[in-house]
Amino acid sequence: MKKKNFFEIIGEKTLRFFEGIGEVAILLKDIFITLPKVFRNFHLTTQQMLFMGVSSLPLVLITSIFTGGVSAVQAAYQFSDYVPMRYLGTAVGKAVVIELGPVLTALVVAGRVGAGIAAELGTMKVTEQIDALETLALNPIRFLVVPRFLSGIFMLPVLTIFSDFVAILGGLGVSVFLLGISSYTFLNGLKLFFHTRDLIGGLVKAVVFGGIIATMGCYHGFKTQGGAEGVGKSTTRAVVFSSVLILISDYVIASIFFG
Amino acid sequence: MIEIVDLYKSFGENQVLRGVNLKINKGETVVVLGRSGCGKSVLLKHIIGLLKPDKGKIFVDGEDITTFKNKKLYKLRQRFGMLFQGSALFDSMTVEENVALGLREHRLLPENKIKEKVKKKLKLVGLSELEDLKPAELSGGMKKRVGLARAIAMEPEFVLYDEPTTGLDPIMADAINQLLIELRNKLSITSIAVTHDITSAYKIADRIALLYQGKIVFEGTPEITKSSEDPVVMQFVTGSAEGPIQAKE
Repeated sequence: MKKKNFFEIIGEKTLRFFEGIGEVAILLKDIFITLPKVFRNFHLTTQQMLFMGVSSLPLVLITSIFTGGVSAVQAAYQFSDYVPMRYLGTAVGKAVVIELGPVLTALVVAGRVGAGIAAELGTMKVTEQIDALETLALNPIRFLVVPRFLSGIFMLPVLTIFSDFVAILGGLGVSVFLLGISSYTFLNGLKLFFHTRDLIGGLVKAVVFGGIIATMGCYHGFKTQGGAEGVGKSTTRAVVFSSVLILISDYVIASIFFG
Repeated sequence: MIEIVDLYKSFGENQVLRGVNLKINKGETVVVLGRSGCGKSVLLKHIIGLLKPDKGKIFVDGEDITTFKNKKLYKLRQRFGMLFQGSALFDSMTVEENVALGLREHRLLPENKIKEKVKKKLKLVGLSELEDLKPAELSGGMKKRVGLARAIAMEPEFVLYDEPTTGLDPIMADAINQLLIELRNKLSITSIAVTHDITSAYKIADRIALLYQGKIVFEGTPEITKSSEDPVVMQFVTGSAEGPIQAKE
Protein backbone atom coordinates (compact mmCIF):
# COMPACT_ATOMS: atom_id res chain seq x y z
CA MET A 1 0.00 0.00 0.00
CA LYS A 2 1.19 3.51 -0.87
CA LYS A 3 2.60 5.45 2.08
CA LYS A 4 0.43 8.49 2.88
CA ASN A 5 2.01 11.92 2.97
CA PHE A 6 1.58 14.44 5.77
CA PHE A 7 -1.32 16.32 4.13
CA GLU A 8 -3.22 13.11 3.37
CA ILE A 9 -2.92 12.08 7.01
CA ILE A 10 -4.12 15.50 8.23
CA GLY A 11 -6.98 15.44 5.70
CA GLU A 12 -8.05 11.95 6.74
CA LYS A 13 -7.97 12.83 10.45
CA THR A 14 -10.01 16.00 9.84
CA LEU A 15 -12.59 14.09 7.80
CA ARG A 16 -12.72 11.38 10.49
CA PHE A 17 -13.28 14.04 13.16
CA PHE A 18 -16.24 15.63 11.38
CA GLU A 19 -17.60 12.21 10.41
CA GLY A 20 -17.53 11.33 14.12
CA ILE A 21 -19.44 14.49 15.05
CA GLY A 22 -22.04 13.66 12.41
CA GLU A 23 -22.38 10.07 13.65
CA VAL A 24 -22.85 11.19 17.25
CA ALA A 25 -25.50 13.69 16.10
CA ILE A 26 -27.33 10.90 14.23
CA LEU A 27 -27.09 8.65 17.30
CA LEU A 28 -28.58 11.42 19.48
CA LYS A 29 -31.38 11.97 16.94
CA ASP A 30 -32.13 8.21 16.98
CA ILE A 31 -32.12 8.21 20.80
CA PHE A 32 -34.67 11.05 20.96
CA ILE A 33 -36.88 9.44 18.30
CA THR A 34 -36.83 6.12 20.16
CA LEU A 35 -37.22 7.64 23.65
CA PRO A 36 -41.05 7.31 23.83
CA LYS A 37 -40.76 3.53 23.37
CA VAL A 38 -38.64 3.14 26.50
CA PHE A 39 -41.58 2.01 28.65
CA ARG A 40 -41.96 -1.17 26.59
CA ASN A 41 -38.81 -2.50 28.30
CA PHE A 42 -38.51 -0.27 31.33
CA HIS A 43 -36.82 -3.08 33.31
CA LEU A 44 -33.76 -2.58 31.08
CA THR A 45 -33.58 1.05 32.22
CA THR A 46 -33.95 0.13 35.90
CA GLN A 47 -31.17 -2.46 35.51
CA GLN A 48 -28.91 0.23 34.08
CA MET A 49 -29.91 2.67 36.83
CA LEU A 50 -28.85 0.08 39.37
CA PHE A 51 -25.51 -0.43 37.62
CA MET A 52 -24.87 3.26 37.03
CA GLY A 53 -26.29 4.60 40.27
CA VAL A 54 -26.40 2.22 43.20
CA SER A 55 -23.25 0.30 42.27
CA SER A 56 -21.30 3.56 41.89
CA LEU A 57 -22.16 4.76 45.41
CA PRO A 58 -19.09 3.35 47.24
CA LEU A 59 -16.70 4.90 44.71
CA VAL A 60 -18.51 8.27 44.79
CA LEU A 61 -18.58 8.12 48.59
CA ILE A 62 -14.81 7.76 48.93
CA THR A 63 -14.04 10.33 46.21
CA SER A 64 -16.45 12.86 47.70
CA ILE A 65 -15.27 12.60 51.32
CA PHE A 66 -11.72 13.40 50.29
CA THR A 67 -12.82 16.05 47.79
CA GLY A 68 -14.70 17.87 50.58
CA GLY A 69 -11.77 17.42 52.92
CA VAL A 70 -9.19 18.78 50.51
CA SER A 71 -11.38 21.72 49.53
CA ALA A 72 -11.59 22.69 53.23
CA VAL A 73 -7.82 22.40 53.66
CA GLN A 74 -7.15 24.39 50.47
CA ALA A 75 -9.68 27.09 51.34
CA ALA A 76 -8.28 27.43 54.87
CA TYR A 77 -4.76 27.81 53.44
CA GLN A 78 -5.89 30.48 50.97
CA PHE A 79 -7.93 32.31 53.63
CA SER A 80 -5.11 32.48 56.19
CA ASP A 81 -4.46 36.09 57.26
CA TYR A 82 -6.84 37.58 54.66
CA VAL A 83 -10.37 36.13 55.00
CA PRO A 84 -12.17 35.27 58.25
CA MET A 85 -12.62 31.52 58.81
CA ARG A 86 -16.38 31.95 59.21
CA TYR A 87 -16.46 32.00 55.39
CA LEU A 88 -14.82 28.56 55.15
CA GLY A 89 -18.22 26.79 54.91
CA THR A 90 -19.24 29.22 52.14
CA ALA A 91 -16.12 28.43 50.11
CA VAL A 92 -16.41 24.67 50.57
CA GLY A 93 -20.16 24.69 49.82
CA LYS A 94 -19.83 26.78 46.66
CA ALA A 95 -16.85 24.82 45.35
CA VAL A 96 -18.55 21.49 45.98
CA VAL A 97 -22.07 22.28 44.76
CA ILE A 98 -21.11 24.27 41.66
CA GLU A 99 -17.98 22.51 40.49
CA LEU A 100 -16.35 19.68 42.40
CA GLY A 101 -19.44 17.56 43.08
CA PRO A 102 -20.75 17.39 39.51
CA VAL A 103 -17.37 17.28 37.73
CA LEU A 104 -15.54 14.78 39.93
CA THR A 105 -18.59 12.51 40.17
CA ALA A 106 -18.90 12.61 36.38
CA LEU A 107 -15.21 11.83 35.86
CA VAL A 108 -15.36 8.91 38.30
CA VAL A 109 -18.56 7.57 36.70
CA ALA A 110 -17.06 8.04 33.21
CA GLY A 111 -14.16 5.81 34.27
CA ARG A 112 -16.39 3.17 35.79
CA VAL A 113 -19.65 3.22 33.83
CA GLY A 114 -18.59 4.76 30.49
CA ALA A 115 -15.83 2.17 30.17
CA GLY A 116 -18.28 -0.58 31.17
CA ILE A 117 -20.83 0.46 28.55
CA ALA A 118 -18.21 0.67 25.78
CA ALA A 119 -16.73 -2.72 26.72
CA GLU A 120 -20.13 -4.43 26.93
CA LEU A 121 -21.50 -3.03 23.67
CA GLY A 122 -18.12 -3.45 21.97
CA THR A 123 -18.07 -7.14 22.88
CA MET A 124 -21.66 -7.47 21.67
CA LYS A 125 -20.63 -5.84 18.40
CA VAL A 126 -17.63 -8.06 17.71
CA THR A 127 -19.52 -11.23 18.66
CA GLU A 128 -22.38 -10.21 16.29
CA GLN A 129 -24.92 -9.96 19.13
CA ILE A 130 -25.97 -6.51 17.88
CA ASP A 131 -26.48 -7.96 14.38
CA ALA A 132 -28.47 -10.78 16.00
CA LEU A 133 -30.78 -8.19 17.62
CA GLU A 134 -31.32 -6.60 14.22
CA THR A 135 -32.11 -9.96 12.61
CA LEU A 136 -34.78 -10.49 15.28
CA ALA A 137 -36.26 -7.19 14.04
CA LEU A 138 -35.29 -5.46 17.32
CA ASN A 139 -33.86 -1.97 17.25
CA PRO A 140 -30.52 -1.89 19.16
CA ILE A 141 -31.03 1.80 19.90
CA ARG A 142 -34.27 1.06 21.78
CA PHE A 143 -32.91 -2.07 23.38
CA LEU A 144 -29.37 -1.03 24.32
CA VAL A 145 -28.80 2.71 23.98
CA VAL A 146 -31.96 4.37 25.29
CA PRO A 147 -31.91 2.55 28.69
CA ARG A 148 -28.27 3.57 29.20
CA PHE A 149 -28.88 7.15 28.08
CA LEU A 150 -31.89 7.57 30.37
CA SER A 151 -30.15 6.05 33.36
CA GLY A 152 -27.20 8.39 32.67
CA ILE A 153 -29.26 11.57 32.70
CA PHE A 154 -31.28 10.45 35.75
CA MET A 155 -28.65 8.80 37.90
CA LEU A 156 -25.80 11.28 37.53
CA PRO A 157 -27.80 14.10 39.21
CA VAL A 158 -28.76 11.65 41.98
CA LEU A 159 -25.12 10.67 42.46
CA THR A 160 -24.14 14.35 42.36
CA ILE A 161 -26.59 15.23 45.16
CA PHE A 162 -25.15 12.34 47.18
CA SER A 163 -21.63 13.51 46.36
CA ASP A 164 -22.41 17.14 47.35
CA PHE A 165 -23.78 15.96 50.68
CA VAL A 166 -20.85 13.65 51.46
CA ALA A 167 -18.26 16.21 50.30
CA ILE A 168 -19.75 18.89 52.57
CA LEU A 169 -19.65 16.38 55.43
CA GLY A 170 -16.00 15.70 54.56
CA GLY A 171 -15.29 19.42 54.57
CA LEU A 172 -17.10 19.79 57.90
CA GLY A 173 -15.14 16.88 59.41
CA VAL A 174 -11.78 18.33 58.36
CA SER A 175 -12.78 21.82 59.54
CA VAL A 176 -13.89 20.61 62.97
CA PHE A 177 -11.27 17.95 63.68
CA LEU A 178 -8.19 19.32 61.93
CA LEU A 179 -8.67 23.07 61.50
CA GLY A 180 -10.31 23.76 64.84
CA ILE A 181 -13.37 25.52 63.44
CA SER A 182 -16.69 24.85 65.17
CA SER A 183 -19.43 23.05 63.27
CA TYR A 184 -21.71 26.02 64.03
CA THR A 185 -19.31 28.42 62.25
CA PHE A 186 -18.87 26.09 59.29
CA LEU A 187 -22.60 25.47 58.82
CA ASN A 188 -23.44 29.15 59.22
CA GLY A 189 -20.88 29.97 56.55
CA LEU A 190 -22.40 27.28 54.33
CA LYS A 191 -25.81 28.94 54.56
CA LEU A 192 -24.53 32.47 54.25
CA PHE A 193 -24.34 32.93 50.49
CA PHE A 194 -26.19 29.81 49.40
CA HIS A 195 -28.23 30.38 46.23
CA THR A 196 -30.63 27.84 44.72
CA ARG A 197 -29.13 28.77 41.35
CA ASP A 198 -25.82 27.20 42.48
CA LEU A 199 -27.49 23.88 43.13
CA ILE A 200 -29.54 24.00 39.91
CA GLY A 201 -26.44 24.89 37.88
CA GLY A 202 -24.60 21.92 39.39
CA LEU A 203 -27.50 19.56 38.65
CA VAL A 204 -27.88 20.81 35.06
CA LYS A 205 -24.19 20.01 34.64
CA ALA A 206 -24.82 16.53 36.04
CA VAL A 207 -27.67 15.87 33.57
CA VAL A 208 -25.46 16.90 30.64
CA PHE A 209 -22.49 14.89 31.95
CA GLY A 210 -24.70 11.81 32.36
CA GLY A 211 -25.83 12.15 28.75
CA ILE A 212 -22.23 12.55 27.58
CA ILE A 213 -21.01 9.45 29.46
CA ALA A 214 -23.81 7.22 28.14
CA THR A 215 -23.62 8.56 24.58
CA MET A 216 -19.84 8.21 24.35
CA GLY A 217 -19.94 4.70 25.85
CA CYS A 218 -22.64 3.59 23.40
CA TYR A 219 -21.11 5.34 20.38
CA HIS A 220 -17.65 3.89 20.88
CA GLY A 221 -19.10 0.48 21.77
CA PHE A 222 -21.08 0.43 18.51
CA LYS A 223 -18.01 1.52 16.52
CA THR A 224 -15.87 -1.34 17.83
CA GLN A 225 -14.04 -3.38 15.23
CA GLY A 226 -11.82 -6.43 15.54
CA GLY A 227 -11.55 -8.54 18.66
CA ALA A 228 -10.30 -7.94 22.18
CA GLU A 229 -7.90 -5.24 20.97
CA GLY A 230 -10.79 -3.33 19.37
CA VAL A 231 -12.82 -3.56 22.57
CA GLY A 232 -9.86 -2.21 24.54
CA LYS A 233 -9.43 0.72 22.16
CA SER A 234 -13.15 1.56 22.27
CA THR A 235 -13.14 1.50 26.06
CA THR A 236 -10.18 3.87 26.21
CA ARG A 237 -11.75 6.20 23.63
CA ALA A 238 -15.07 6.25 25.50
CA VAL A 239 -13.39 7.33 28.74
CA VAL A 240 -11.07 9.88 27.08
CA PHE A 241 -13.81 11.50 24.97
CA SER A 242 -16.25 11.53 27.92
CA SER A 243 -13.70 13.20 30.18
CA VAL A 244 -12.73 15.84 27.61
CA LEU A 245 -16.36 16.60 26.74
CA ILE A 246 -17.27 16.80 30.43
CA LEU A 247 -14.62 19.46 31.01
CA ILE A 248 -15.56 21.43 27.87
CA SER A 249 -19.30 21.36 28.62
CA ASP A 250 -18.52 22.26 32.26
CA TYR A 251 -16.99 25.51 31.04
CA VAL A 252 -19.91 26.20 28.68
CA ILE A 253 -22.59 25.58 31.34
CA ALA A 254 -20.67 27.54 33.98
CA SER A 255 -20.45 30.48 31.55
CA ILE A 256 -24.21 30.35 30.94
CA PHE A 257 -25.21 30.01 34.61
CA PHE A 258 -22.55 31.95 36.43
CA GLY A 259 -20.81 34.00 33.74
CA MET B 1 -38.31 -16.28 -3.62
CA ILE B 2 -35.06 -14.36 -3.21
CA GLU B 3 -33.24 -12.93 -6.21
CA ILE B 4 -29.86 -11.20 -5.99
CA VAL B 5 -29.07 -9.07 -9.02
CA ASP B 6 -25.62 -7.68 -9.86
CA LEU B 7 -24.60 -7.02 -6.25
CA TYR B 8 -21.46 -4.98 -5.52
CA LYS B 9 -19.91 -4.17 -2.14
CA SER B 10 -16.56 -2.68 -1.16
CA PHE B 11 -15.00 -1.93 2.21
CA GLY B 12 -12.50 0.85 1.58
CA GLU B 13 -10.24 -0.38 -1.20
CA ASN B 14 -11.25 -4.01 -0.70
CA GLN B 15 -13.85 -4.94 -3.30
CA VAL B 16 -15.64 -7.93 -1.78
CA LEU B 17 -18.66 -8.52 -4.02
CA ARG B 18 -18.23 -7.79 -7.73
CA GLY B 19 -21.56 -8.49 -9.38
CA VAL B 20 -23.20 -11.40 -7.56
CA ASN B 21 -26.25 -12.92 -9.27
CA LEU B 22 -28.20 -15.69 -7.53
CA LYS B 23 -31.78 -16.90 -7.37
CA ILE B 24 -33.20 -18.95 -4.46
CA ASN B 25 -36.57 -20.55 -5.07
CA LYS B 26 -39.25 -21.07 -2.43
CA GLY B 27 -38.61 -24.09 -0.20
CA GLU B 28 -35.14 -24.59 -1.66
CA THR B 29 -31.84 -24.92 0.23
CA VAL B 30 -28.97 -23.20 -1.54
CA VAL B 31 -25.45 -23.53 -0.19
CA VAL B 32 -22.96 -20.82 -1.14
CA LEU B 33 -19.46 -22.23 -1.03
CA GLY B 34 -16.35 -20.12 -0.96
CA ARG B 35 -13.02 -19.62 0.72
CA SER B 36 -12.76 -17.93 4.09
CA GLY B 37 -12.97 -14.16 3.66
CA CYS B 38 -14.40 -14.31 0.13
CA GLY B 39 -17.54 -12.39 1.10
CA LYS B 40 -20.02 -15.17 1.95
CA SER B 41 -21.13 -13.62 5.26
CA VAL B 42 -21.23 -10.18 3.59
CA LEU B 43 -23.64 -11.64 1.04
CA LEU B 44 -25.89 -13.04 3.80
CA LYS B 45 -25.89 -9.72 5.66
CA HIS B 46 -27.09 -8.00 2.48
CA ILE B 47 -29.98 -10.44 2.13
CA ILE B 48 -31.29 -9.58 5.61
CA GLY B 49 -30.58 -5.86 5.19
CA LEU B 50 -27.74 -5.56 7.71
CA LEU B 51 -25.54 -4.12 4.97
CA LYS B 52 -26.43 -1.84 2.06
CA PRO B 53 -24.88 -2.66 -1.30
CA ASP B 54 -22.84 -0.16 -3.30
CA LYS B 55 -24.76 -1.28 -6.38
CA GLY B 56 -27.29 -3.96 -7.25
CA LYS B 57 -30.67 -5.17 -6.04
CA ILE B 58 -32.06 -7.90 -3.82
CA PHE B 59 -35.63 -8.94 -4.44
CA VAL B 60 -37.63 -10.78 -1.78
CA ASP B 61 -40.93 -11.95 -3.26
CA GLY B 62 -40.57 -9.32 -5.96
CA GLU B 63 -39.80 -6.34 -3.67
CA ASP B 64 -36.38 -4.68 -3.82
CA ILE B 65 -35.28 -4.66 -0.16
CA THR B 66 -32.22 -2.46 -0.80
CA THR B 67 -34.60 0.51 -0.98
CA PHE B 68 -36.32 -0.35 2.33
CA LYS B 69 -36.11 2.13 5.21
CA ASN B 70 -35.98 1.12 8.88
CA LYS B 71 -39.66 0.35 9.55
CA LYS B 72 -40.13 -1.74 6.42
CA LEU B 73 -36.80 -3.46 7.00
CA TYR B 74 -37.73 -4.50 10.56
CA LYS B 75 -41.04 -5.84 9.24
CA LEU B 76 -39.19 -7.83 6.58
CA ARG B 77 -36.75 -9.24 9.13
CA GLN B 78 -39.63 -10.84 11.02
CA ARG B 79 -39.92 -13.18 8.02
CA PHE B 80 -36.25 -14.16 8.36
CA GLY B 81 -34.20 -16.14 10.85
CA MET B 82 -30.43 -16.17 10.97
CA LEU B 83 -27.92 -18.53 12.53
CA PHE B 84 -24.61 -16.78 13.12
CA GLN B 85 -21.17 -18.32 12.76
CA GLY B 86 -20.37 -17.81 16.45
CA SER B 87 -24.04 -18.31 17.43
CA ALA B 88 -24.22 -14.68 18.71
CA LEU B 89 -26.26 -15.64 21.77
CA PHE B 90 -26.92 -12.79 24.20
CA ASP B 91 -24.66 -13.67 27.10
CA SER B 92 -26.63 -11.72 29.67
CA MET B 93 -29.70 -13.90 28.98
CA THR B 94 -30.53 -17.54 29.65
CA VAL B 95 -31.14 -20.06 26.87
CA GLU B 96 -34.90 -19.64 27.32
CA GLU B 97 -34.69 -15.84 27.17
CA ASN B 98 -32.52 -16.02 24.05
CA VAL B 99 -34.96 -18.22 22.18
CA ALA B 100 -38.03 -16.32 23.41
CA LEU B 101 -36.68 -12.81 22.83
CA GLY B 102 -38.21 -12.20 19.40
CA LEU B 103 -41.57 -13.67 20.41
CA ARG B 104 -41.72 -11.62 23.62
CA GLU B 105 -40.60 -8.34 22.11
CA HIS B 106 -42.96 -8.54 19.15
CA ARG B 107 -45.75 -9.79 21.43
CA LEU B 108 -46.56 -12.52 18.98
CA LEU B 109 -47.99 -14.87 21.62
CA PRO B 110 -49.21 -14.80 25.24
CA GLU B 111 -46.54 -15.67 27.82
CA ASN B 112 -47.72 -19.25 28.50
CA LYS B 113 -47.72 -20.01 24.75
CA ILE B 114 -44.22 -18.50 24.42
CA LYS B 115 -42.88 -20.82 27.11
CA GLU B 116 -44.54 -23.76 25.37
CA LYS B 117 -43.11 -22.76 22.01
CA VAL B 118 -39.59 -22.28 23.38
CA LYS B 119 -39.70 -25.78 24.89
CA LYS B 120 -40.89 -27.16 21.54
CA LYS B 121 -38.15 -25.43 19.56
CA LEU B 122 -35.46 -26.49 22.02
CA LYS B 123 -36.74 -30.06 21.81
CA LEU B 124 -36.63 -29.84 18.02
CA VAL B 125 -32.91 -28.99 18.16
CA GLY B 126 -32.33 -31.73 20.71
CA LEU B 127 -31.86 -29.52 23.77
CA SER B 128 -34.36 -30.00 26.55
CA GLU B 129 -33.97 -29.09 30.24
CA LEU B 130 -31.32 -26.45 29.50
CA GLU B 131 -33.58 -23.41 29.53
CA ASP B 132 -32.05 -21.84 32.64
CA LEU B 133 -28.41 -22.08 31.59
CA LYS B 134 -26.43 -19.08 30.36
CA PRO B 135 -24.56 -19.29 27.00
CA ALA B 136 -21.20 -19.37 28.84
CA GLU B 137 -22.21 -22.72 30.34
CA LEU B 138 -22.84 -24.34 26.93
CA SER B 139 -20.51 -26.16 24.52
CA GLY B 140 -19.96 -24.91 20.95
CA GLY B 141 -22.43 -27.42 19.51
CA MET B 142 -25.07 -26.57 22.10
CA LYS B 143 -24.67 -22.85 21.35
CA LYS B 144 -25.20 -23.54 17.63
CA ARG B 145 -28.37 -25.46 18.46
CA VAL B 146 -29.70 -22.69 20.70
CA GLY B 147 -28.86 -20.21 17.93
CA LEU B 148 -30.83 -22.39 15.55
CA ALA B 149 -33.80 -22.61 17.94
CA ARG B 150 -33.74 -18.80 18.22
CA ALA B 151 -33.55 -18.44 14.42
CA ILE B 152 -36.66 -20.55 13.88
CA ALA B 153 -38.62 -19.42 16.95
CA MET B 154 -40.67 -16.84 15.04
CA GLU B 155 -41.56 -19.40 12.33
CA PRO B 156 -39.60 -17.61 9.58
CA GLU B 157 -40.14 -18.23 5.88
CA PHE B 158 -36.41 -17.83 5.18
CA VAL B 159 -33.46 -18.97 7.30
CA LEU B 160 -29.89 -17.86 6.68
CA TYR B 161 -27.09 -20.02 8.04
CA ASP B 162 -23.62 -18.52 8.40
CA GLU B 163 -21.11 -21.37 8.59
CA PRO B 164 -23.47 -23.72 10.45
CA THR B 165 -20.85 -26.44 11.04
CA THR B 166 -17.63 -24.45 11.43
CA GLY B 167 -15.74 -25.15 14.63
CA LEU B 168 -17.70 -28.31 15.44
CA ASP B 169 -16.38 -31.86 15.66
CA PRO B 170 -17.45 -34.10 12.71
CA ILE B 171 -20.16 -35.86 14.72
CA MET B 172 -21.70 -32.64 15.98
CA ALA B 173 -21.36 -31.14 12.49
CA ASP B 174 -23.32 -34.05 11.05
CA ALA B 175 -25.95 -33.71 13.79
CA ILE B 176 -26.40 -30.05 12.79
CA ASN B 177 -26.64 -31.06 9.11
CA GLN B 178 -29.36 -33.59 9.99
CA LEU B 179 -31.16 -30.89 11.92
CA LEU B 180 -31.11 -28.49 8.97
CA ILE B 181 -32.50 -31.22 6.69
CA GLU B 182 -35.22 -32.00 9.24
CA LEU B 183 -36.13 -28.32 9.53
CA ARG B 184 -36.40 -28.01 5.76
CA ASN B 185 -38.57 -31.13 5.53
CA LYS B 186 -40.79 -30.35 8.52
CA LEU B 187 -41.19 -26.60 8.18
CA SER B 188 -40.54 -26.22 4.40
CA ILE B 189 -38.28 -23.23 5.02
CA THR B 190 -36.33 -21.52 2.23
CA SER B 191 -32.69 -21.64 3.32
CA ILE B 192 -29.40 -20.12 2.31
CA ALA B 193 -26.29 -21.51 3.96
CA VAL B 194 -22.79 -20.17 3.44
CA THR B 195 -19.93 -22.47 4.28
CA HIS B 196 -16.56 -23.79 3.19
CA ASP B 197 -17.48 -27.24 4.52
CA ILE B 198 -17.98 -29.26 1.33
CA THR B 199 -19.27 -32.38 3.15
CA SER B 200 -21.98 -30.31 4.79
CA ALA B 201 -22.83 -28.67 1.46
CA TYR B 202 -23.34 -32.05 -0.28
CA LYS B 203 -25.55 -33.21 2.55
CA ILE B 204 -27.92 -30.25 2.97
CA ALA B 205 -28.00 -28.51 -0.42
CA ASP B 206 -30.59 -28.71 -3.15
CA ARG B 207 -28.28 -26.48 -5.13
CA ILE B 208 -24.67 -25.37 -4.61
CA ALA B 209 -23.23 -22.03 -5.75
CA LEU B 210 -19.54 -21.17 -5.68
CA LEU B 211 -18.51 -17.62 -4.78
CA TYR B 212 -15.10 -16.82 -6.17
CA GLN B 213 -13.46 -13.41 -6.72
CA GLY B 214 -16.68 -11.64 -5.74
CA LYS B 215 -18.93 -13.47 -8.23
CA ILE B 216 -20.97 -16.66 -8.38
CA VAL B 217 -18.86 -18.66 -10.82
CA PHE B 218 -20.77 -21.94 -10.63
CA GLU B 219 -24.27 -23.21 -9.78
CA GLY B 220 -25.52 -26.78 -9.77
CA THR B 221 -26.94 -29.67 -7.77
CA PRO B 222 -24.56 -31.58 -5.46
CA GLU B 223 -24.27 -34.33 -8.14
CA ILE B 224 -23.37 -31.83 -10.87
CA THR B 225 -20.89 -30.17 -8.49
CA LYS B 226 -19.17 -33.50 -7.77
CA SER B 227 -18.79 -34.26 -11.45
CA SER B 228 -17.95 -30.71 -12.59
CA GLU B 229 -14.85 -30.32 -14.72
CA ASP B 230 -14.59 -26.57 -14.06
CA PRO B 231 -11.02 -26.23 -12.68
CA VAL B 232 -12.10 -23.78 -9.92
CA VAL B 233 -14.92 -26.08 -8.76
CA MET B 234 -12.68 -29.15 -8.97
CA GLN B 235 -9.98 -27.48 -6.91
CA PHE B 236 -12.44 -26.36 -4.26
CA VAL B 237 -14.20 -29.73 -4.09
CA THR B 238 -10.96 -31.69 -3.85
CA GLY B 239 -9.46 -29.17 -1.44
CA SER B 240 -6.21 -28.92 -3.37
CA ALA B 241 -3.67 -26.12 -2.94
CA GLU B 242 -2.70 -26.52 -6.63
CA GLY B 243 -4.95 -24.89 -9.25
CA PRO B 244 -6.44 -21.57 -10.33
CA ILE B 245 -7.36 -20.60 -6.74
CA GLN B 246 -4.20 -19.32 -5.10
CA ALA B 247 -3.65 -20.34 -1.47
CA LYS B 248 -2.37 -16.80 -0.78
CA GLU B 249 -4.53 -14.01 -2.16
